[in-house]
Amino acid sequence: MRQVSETPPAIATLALSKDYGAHRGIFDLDLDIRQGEVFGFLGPNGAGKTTTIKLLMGMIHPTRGTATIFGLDCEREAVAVKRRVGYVPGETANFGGWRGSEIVAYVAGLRGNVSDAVISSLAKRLDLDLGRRYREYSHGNKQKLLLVLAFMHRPPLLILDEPTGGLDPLHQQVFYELVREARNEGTTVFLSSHVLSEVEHVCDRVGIVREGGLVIVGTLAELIGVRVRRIEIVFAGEPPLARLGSVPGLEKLDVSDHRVTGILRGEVEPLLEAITGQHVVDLHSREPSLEEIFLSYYSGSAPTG
Amino acid sequence: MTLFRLALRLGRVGAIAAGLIGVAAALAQPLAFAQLAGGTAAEREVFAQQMEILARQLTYLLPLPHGLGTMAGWIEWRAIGALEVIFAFWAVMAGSGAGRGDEEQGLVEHWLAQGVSRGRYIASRIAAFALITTIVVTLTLAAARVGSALGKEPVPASALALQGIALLGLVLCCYAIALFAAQLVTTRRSAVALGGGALLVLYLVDVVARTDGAESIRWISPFWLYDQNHPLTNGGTVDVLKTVALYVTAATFAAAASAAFVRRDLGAPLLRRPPLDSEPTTLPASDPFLRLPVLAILDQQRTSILVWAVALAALGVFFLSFTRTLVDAMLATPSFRVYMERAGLGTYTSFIGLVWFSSLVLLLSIYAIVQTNGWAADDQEGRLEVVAAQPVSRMRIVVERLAALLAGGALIVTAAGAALAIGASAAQVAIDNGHLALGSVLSLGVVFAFGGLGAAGVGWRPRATVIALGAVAIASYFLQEFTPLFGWPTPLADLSIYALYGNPVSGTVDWARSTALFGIGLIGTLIALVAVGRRDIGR
Repeated sequence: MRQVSETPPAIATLALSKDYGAHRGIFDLDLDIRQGEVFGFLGPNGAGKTTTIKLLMGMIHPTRGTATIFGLDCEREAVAVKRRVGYVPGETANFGGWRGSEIVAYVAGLRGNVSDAVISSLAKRLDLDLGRRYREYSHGNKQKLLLVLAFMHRPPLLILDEPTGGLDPLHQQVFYELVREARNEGTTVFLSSHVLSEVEHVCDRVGIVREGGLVIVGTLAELIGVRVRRIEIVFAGEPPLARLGSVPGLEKLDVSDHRVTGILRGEVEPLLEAITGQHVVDLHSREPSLEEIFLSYYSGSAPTG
Repeated sequence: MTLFRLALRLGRVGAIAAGLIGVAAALAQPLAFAQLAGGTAAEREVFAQQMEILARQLTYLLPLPHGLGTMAGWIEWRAIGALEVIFAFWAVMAGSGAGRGDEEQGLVEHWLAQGVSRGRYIASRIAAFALITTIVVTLTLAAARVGSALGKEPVPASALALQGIALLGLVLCCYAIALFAAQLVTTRRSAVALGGGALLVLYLVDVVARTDGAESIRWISPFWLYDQNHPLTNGGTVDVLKTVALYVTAATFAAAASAAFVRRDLGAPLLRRPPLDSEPTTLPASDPFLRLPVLAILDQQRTSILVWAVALAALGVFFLSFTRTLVDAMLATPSFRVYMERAGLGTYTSFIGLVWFSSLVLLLSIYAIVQTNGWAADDQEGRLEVVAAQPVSRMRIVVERLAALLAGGALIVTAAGAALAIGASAAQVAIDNGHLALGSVLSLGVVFAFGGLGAAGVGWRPRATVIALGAVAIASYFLQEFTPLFGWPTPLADLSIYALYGNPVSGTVDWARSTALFGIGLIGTLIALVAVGRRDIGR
């Protein structure tokens, strides 16, 4: 008999891989998402976010590795898994001439035990008229309908693939509120996005995926606190480029007159040694924004850690 | 020029399919004639008589024949006559695709955003289809010329060219009507339904006209206008006025479609209904069927099931309307009587059992294939992903689909059977209702077999599965029709999937074969149940 710990992780993957060939897919993904946290899964188009989510939802089969949700195997116990999950797919479906109310009723029928009051409340908050036909919906309204379908049964886990695509800023705020409320009720949220501000808004932890591999996972504070600094130095004379070039971890140097900017990974000490006695007029070192961290992982070669 | 090339590219799949069918039919039929019709005048006369009998049964599918004892008459009736419906179907699909399908996918918006004018866009599509059709028709008639030459009775190229001019006019006319119909609706599916429906009505007018009916309105049918041309048969000519009428109709509808496309909003129909004064709602639909397994699917398909049921019931009644006259007339003719008795068509019941039910199972197969196509679309358009994200097993999805297919098939068969029974009573045609009910129930085996095979293949190769099932249905139908007629070996007819259905209405039920038919459905279902668990879902 399978042993399940008292509080299994909401999502756990072990060496999860889906190899589409030609280096496309997701490779050896190890994730551990705790119950009740909001996890942001960041990456540019084609990095493997949707593939990971489809693997978690049991839509596609892994080439190797395993994925569990609340201790349940995503492959073998898919029905039990989906009972606990609300899902927004990465692309809107085409329901043609169906009315929104019919789609919601149909999906609620498949799921069972869905309160009409909850559906109505969600539709009201998202300002979605369920009486209209699906083909008459704008892209944003189609996305709202998917949000209603994902949230309507109050699942303990929400898996959302770029959920705010097409939503106007007003309804993005409504979405953030829904996520916060869900988190307050103990719901775990796994949210893929390439909108950094969205992740900064709602996520407790962030994972960054690149070319099918997870490059870093941490809380926002950890990521920001990781030893990466945005450096800006103004020299009185010519910048000592040779000395700066030899500083370990100093990357992306940009020189403009007497001003040098760059990203410093690691210790500050070697940099200070390099500029000692160089008539520094001004020096700024600041924590990078999430956007800069994100971009730092997408420039040059893949970082190892 | 780029736009024109693009339009040619977009039409290539349909053109290749239509061209292959056209060339194959036009090449094979003359060769079949050379083999089957016999060499002496007496043999030719017997052959022509037999074909005349068949032709009377198939007026809903083929035009009235002329000079069936000659290669030219055979080509006109059997080779090119059969292409009317096939090319019209192609034209409907192409017209609805150009008029609405590409727009539905956002392609038209993209092209117009590149600075292409609407007039130029639609003119390119029309011109490209006209060029493609000219090539397809030319190749088809060239194949007929080659086939007749190989059969040692070459038909004149000039006569084939005249036939080609008329056929081109018909296909362009169907395309233009479909293109115009597409301007009136918002989806490709509706465009196919409206354009196809309009052309079906016009075709049925011609079918009725083939038995000397619909005299006052037959001129409205482009199919009737086309059927009046007989350039291939001895002394035949092109009816210039009616052929010109075909081209004028095509030009008129094409111009109307172009004007409508220029005038209307993208994504909207030409004529908008005033918005209904309905209150916005945030509540789910109260329809209880939507929340119940199987019934939810049937509820979604209620309109199409109703259309199928009404159409098959109407066809059944239409078939009965001439059954009595036709059977009586044939039995009164000594040479026909011999054939009728040999073919087991000597009574009304046997005639209905063999002729109507062989058509019914073909139509039910098409119903199952259409459903299979819908399953493929569910996957491609993301609906399956939404359903699979709910706590339902993949096996349940397959089982529910097949259950809904069988339930829908049962409703259609019941409507057709009831219409046939009522129509028979009204037409004073004695028919055993018990056998009729049994034949109707067993016809569901055909639905199950095609549905099971479709379910098995759709997750693997959706498009190829639909095409393969269509090919099986058509080949099976013609194997059944032609084997007794041409005296082909019986095992050949047994290759037809419909041989497993047999003739339960007028003959005895072969339970082994009927069981085999349901067995095919069951095996297909089992394969589908295994395959659905292994495959990936999603676009």
